[in-house]
Amino acid sequence: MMEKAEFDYLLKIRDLKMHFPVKAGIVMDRVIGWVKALDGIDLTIKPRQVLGMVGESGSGKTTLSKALLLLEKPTCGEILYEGKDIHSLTGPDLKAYRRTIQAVFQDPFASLSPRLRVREIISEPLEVSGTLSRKELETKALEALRTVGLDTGLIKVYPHELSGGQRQRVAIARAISTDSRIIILDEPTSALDVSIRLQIIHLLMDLQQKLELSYLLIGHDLAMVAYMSTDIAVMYLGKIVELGETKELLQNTAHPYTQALIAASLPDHPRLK
Amino acid sequence: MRGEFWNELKDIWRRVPKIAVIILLLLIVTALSADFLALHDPEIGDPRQRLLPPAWEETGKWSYPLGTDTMGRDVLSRLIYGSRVSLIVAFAAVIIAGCIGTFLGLLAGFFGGWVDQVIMRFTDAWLSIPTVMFGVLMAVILGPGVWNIVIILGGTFWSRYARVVRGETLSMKTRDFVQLAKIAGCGKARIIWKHILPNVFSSVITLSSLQIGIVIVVEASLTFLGVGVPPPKPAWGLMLSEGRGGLLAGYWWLVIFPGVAIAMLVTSFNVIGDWLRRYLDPFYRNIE
Repeated sequence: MMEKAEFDYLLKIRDLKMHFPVKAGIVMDRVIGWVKALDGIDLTIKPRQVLGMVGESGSGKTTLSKALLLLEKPTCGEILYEGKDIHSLTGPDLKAYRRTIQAVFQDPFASLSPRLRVREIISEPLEVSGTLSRKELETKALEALRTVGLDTGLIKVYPHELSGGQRQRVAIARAISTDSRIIILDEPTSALDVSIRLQIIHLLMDLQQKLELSYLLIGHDLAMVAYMSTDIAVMYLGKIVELGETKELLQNTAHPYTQALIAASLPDHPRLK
Repeated sequence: MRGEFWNELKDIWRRVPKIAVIILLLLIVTALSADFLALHDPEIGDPRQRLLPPAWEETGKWSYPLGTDTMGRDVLSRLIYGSRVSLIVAFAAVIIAGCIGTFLGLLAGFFGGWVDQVIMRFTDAWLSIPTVMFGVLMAVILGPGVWNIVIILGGTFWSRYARVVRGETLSMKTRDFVQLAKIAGCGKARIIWKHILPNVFSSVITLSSLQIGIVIVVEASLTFLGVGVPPPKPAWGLMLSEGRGGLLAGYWWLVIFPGVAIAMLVTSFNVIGDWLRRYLDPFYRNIE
């Protein structure tokens, strides 16, 4: 509803490059080479799209998410949000962008600040990027807790009193509390117990439908990514080597790396292979 | 509301190391009410009652329970007043040292780069100065006095805090929750104050528990060397120093009582500090 009509994308990434210098030398550091973590990424994230992103470790998935979350400044290229490069946003525009994009990380035991209560954890993004009163923040936090299916009584406990699944739900509540429109999910289930993985996956899929969210889903597990995503991008050595709708991509793989990735994933049923 | 507070207090009491807390509380009460507890003036002695042994010895008197020193001053009264000096110096010095060191450590760890280099090289240089020698030098410059000792000790002991806090900050900085705070748009001050400081605080407390013992000992040492608390003020280190000549002559009470007092205070602080560390860490709170 807040979307401005003239933009049919949420984020548009154009020729994004991120090069890190490799330094050597005992006294004086010399640059002896460059690691090309991202080497020319072009990508568009549309409203309500679940974009799965697969690739081996070091292929640049996380670096890309860091650039989107303003944690790293790209070497060159741009990321457009409502027509403006996100790395040049200031003031109210920057705050609005921060509310728009949120993230959920892999390890729910590391992603919640241990000395803050659940209420503070959930309402922090709103607190620092908005102008709400304490009372309104609390209302928002309660609402977010209910949305992710947690008991509202948990609002005043510390993270260490929660289970892994509950913690991940709190992390998700934090991510949706700002009425965000795109959430970066960095392997959101891989640190969880197998028995609650599916619950979290379904919660994320429900929320995506209900709140009309876009996800950038980063994962190693091709089966999980394929299950959740509308589209899949395959990254390899800092480049997107294949991009397409999930079904199509899995059936007609063009790039040998994608084929290898599919061959390596487990079949749906042990006897199918 | 009042009942709730009372219950919480009872709950805490059930978990604390009781002996250490009782000793420390007793010492604090003693220090606060020294004016009522002491039987004699701690600074002016009675020349006719010199070197009396403790009361249970043959020649002892019950009006001087722990005996008297070479100037006829009551050892117990001096001990009681001396607890004031030790506690004030220890707490004040550790608080000053902790604040300076934590502040610098947070800055160095969080900002890194040249800020880190400058602060940590300065800290290393500071650490390399021998504490007692520096204390003697400063005491000579500033002159004797309780508050000068506090300033000297506070200004000496911050470097260890800076090191520990810097290390903890470095490790906290890379944690996911700090990254998520950045993503949420938290400013640097807020990240340091809300996400890093509370998590390094238990280390500061633990270090303080060890430091406070050392501070008491160093204060006693400086006083022993004659550059700390000036005589005739009652300080435990001073009592040790004045009594050391008598030890070989058989006046053991001049040294044993202040020595035991220092040992008890230091041990209590260490035990309580260790408990406090676990209590302040919410992770441990439900395990105990």
